[in-house]
Amino acid sequence: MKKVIWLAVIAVFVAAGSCVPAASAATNKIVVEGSTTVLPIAQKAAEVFMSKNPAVDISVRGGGSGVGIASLIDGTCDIGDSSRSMKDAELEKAGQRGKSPKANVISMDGIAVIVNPSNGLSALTKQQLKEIFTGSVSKWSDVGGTGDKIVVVSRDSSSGTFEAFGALALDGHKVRADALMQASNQAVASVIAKTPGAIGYVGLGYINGEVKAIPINGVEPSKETVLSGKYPLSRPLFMYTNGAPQGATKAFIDFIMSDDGQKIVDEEGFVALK
Amino acid sequence: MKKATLLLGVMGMVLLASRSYAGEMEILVQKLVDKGVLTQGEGAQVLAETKEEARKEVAQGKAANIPQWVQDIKFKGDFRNRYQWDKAKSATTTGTEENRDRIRVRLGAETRVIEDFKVGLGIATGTTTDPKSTNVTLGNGFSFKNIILDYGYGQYLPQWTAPVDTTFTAGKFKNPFWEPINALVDPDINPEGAALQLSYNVNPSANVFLNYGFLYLGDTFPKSKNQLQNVIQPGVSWSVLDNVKLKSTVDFWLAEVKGQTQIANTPGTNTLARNSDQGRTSDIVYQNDYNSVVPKLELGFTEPFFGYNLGFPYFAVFGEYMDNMSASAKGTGWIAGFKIGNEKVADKYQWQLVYDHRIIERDAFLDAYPDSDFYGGKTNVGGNHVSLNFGLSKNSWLALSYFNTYNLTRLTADSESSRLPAQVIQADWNIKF
Repeated sequence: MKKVIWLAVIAVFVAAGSCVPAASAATNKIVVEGSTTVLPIAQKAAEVFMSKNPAVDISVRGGGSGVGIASLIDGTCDIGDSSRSMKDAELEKAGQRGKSPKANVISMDGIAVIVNPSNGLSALTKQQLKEIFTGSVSKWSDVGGTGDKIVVVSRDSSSGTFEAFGALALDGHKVRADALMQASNQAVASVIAKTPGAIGYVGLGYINGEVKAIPINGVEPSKETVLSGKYPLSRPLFMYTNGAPQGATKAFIDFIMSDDGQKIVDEEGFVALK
Repeated sequence: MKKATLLLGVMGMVLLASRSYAGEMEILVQKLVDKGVLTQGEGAQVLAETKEEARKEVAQGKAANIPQWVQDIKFKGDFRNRYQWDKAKSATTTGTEENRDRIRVRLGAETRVIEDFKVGLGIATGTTTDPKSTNVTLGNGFSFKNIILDYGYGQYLPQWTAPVDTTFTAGKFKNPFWEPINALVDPDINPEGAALQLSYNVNPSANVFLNYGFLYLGDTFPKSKNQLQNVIQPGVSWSVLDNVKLKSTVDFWLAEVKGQTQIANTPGTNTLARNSDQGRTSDIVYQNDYNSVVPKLELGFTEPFFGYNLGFPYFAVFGEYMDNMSASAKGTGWIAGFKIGNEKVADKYQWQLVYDHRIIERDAFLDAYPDSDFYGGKTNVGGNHVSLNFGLSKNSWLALSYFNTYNLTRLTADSESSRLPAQVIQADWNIKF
């Protein structure tokens, strides 16, 4: 009798287990985290990819390149978005944790230097740019601009754009202490649009009619000059994976690299690789 | 195809050339772009990805100067200072009290020796004769305290079984069998033998798992009848709704020990008798096998509770039932209770209150296992337990526990006090790393 009772208990248990939703409902989950610059590409691509592949669930979060890379090293995300290369310390840490980050370049981006449209400034050299952002030059009259005091606007230090700008434009020097630090590219563009004496930098995708992009060393920031490497403030955008991407993650990155995916890159204002 | 081959060739050359010829590689890629073999975008992609690959190899090469298994060592440990008050009635006294200040120190390390293989070991305070406690009592004229081997194991985690996570462990290892609270199996017990754990995520909200253990209970192996324990634990963990979680198992704890001598370091509260076989009357042997079926369940709710915020983030009810199919009498038991507060006390100001009531009949379960704080880890017991944990910081917390327990059997038929009640109060300060 006892055995019959226990068989019944097990049967109930197995039945309860079978109530779990079927695997086909959402077998593959991909967590994407990191750069706010890469975020719009990742979000749009995920939306389109999931509509074509209902079995795949993609969760996309921002947080900054540093956060995405840290999550990849910790194993809490499948794709770490980054607008900068991984630092040596991050690569070493990844190695110590048994991770082998694979850089998947999904697009190029140019960091555009922008001023308020009312500013008469027409060009800057890379040296002048560095002097402005490090505090050696504080007046527009010293570099051919209009107005008096230069108001420097920068991304905050957790941003990949900040890291990339520091490396590409400032040779590793720090941004002046009184710079207005902003949490997003959009916020930088908004401050520049409202402040006549301001100068800042944003991803190429954030250039709009309310700000003016300034040529650097005589080269306009454009898709062509970024891809050719002529524009001095250009950078690749990465989706880092642990080892070569596999399964659903590979399918998602392959989609971004496809003609349809690169069309999204283009529509979001970045430089498509195709 | 031609393009892919060229791309691979260029990437290989850049990787091999690493830093010295990076400039030449850029020229080569540019020539391929100029000739229309690569688009400008593909050229930029190849250069950027190969540069990153080369940087990774250099950076991880630095770390590789130290053997990988050393780099992969993970240490963990904890310290607990416990003030404990006990009061127990015996057959001859009305109740003796005891106050003790006790410490527990544990230090463990684990490393990945080679791909898919790990080794772990841990040391702790304690004695070799009490597998259910790593406490040592302070005092005794500043005497030195013993350090013992708490666990030591080898582990195989094959990747080829993906998407099923597989862990095979052999040696003396941490208890792999889930329980809503550490009641039926004392948390200090580290089983010995081998265990296989399989886990599969059916979907993002559901996981099914199977734990199997082949454990040595006694040291009689390889006598004609071995004291062995087989444990089979199939289970499911399922987020039923966004804020409702269910975890449940049906355990089979199978030990055919009838006629075998009493297992070492056990309290001897299972049914035992002098062995009359073959004239070995001095042996005390089990009168039953212990083939216990134990369904367990925890149903947890996170805030908001069906739309209501009640001031705490987690509430759960849990229960276990045990039935020794090989016992003709006194072979069942149950544990039921609730948790309220935070799901885990992992940070400052987090808290959790746990209450449970337990009834474990004499032969419901092998007495080698139950929680030693609850009437000395015996069977044939009942009573209540309540604990309050409070976080002091990320890795430090206070705990206050009370056990009010009694023997299920009266010594004297009409006397309730002959159940020999016992109370324990424990005040703990824990730090872990």
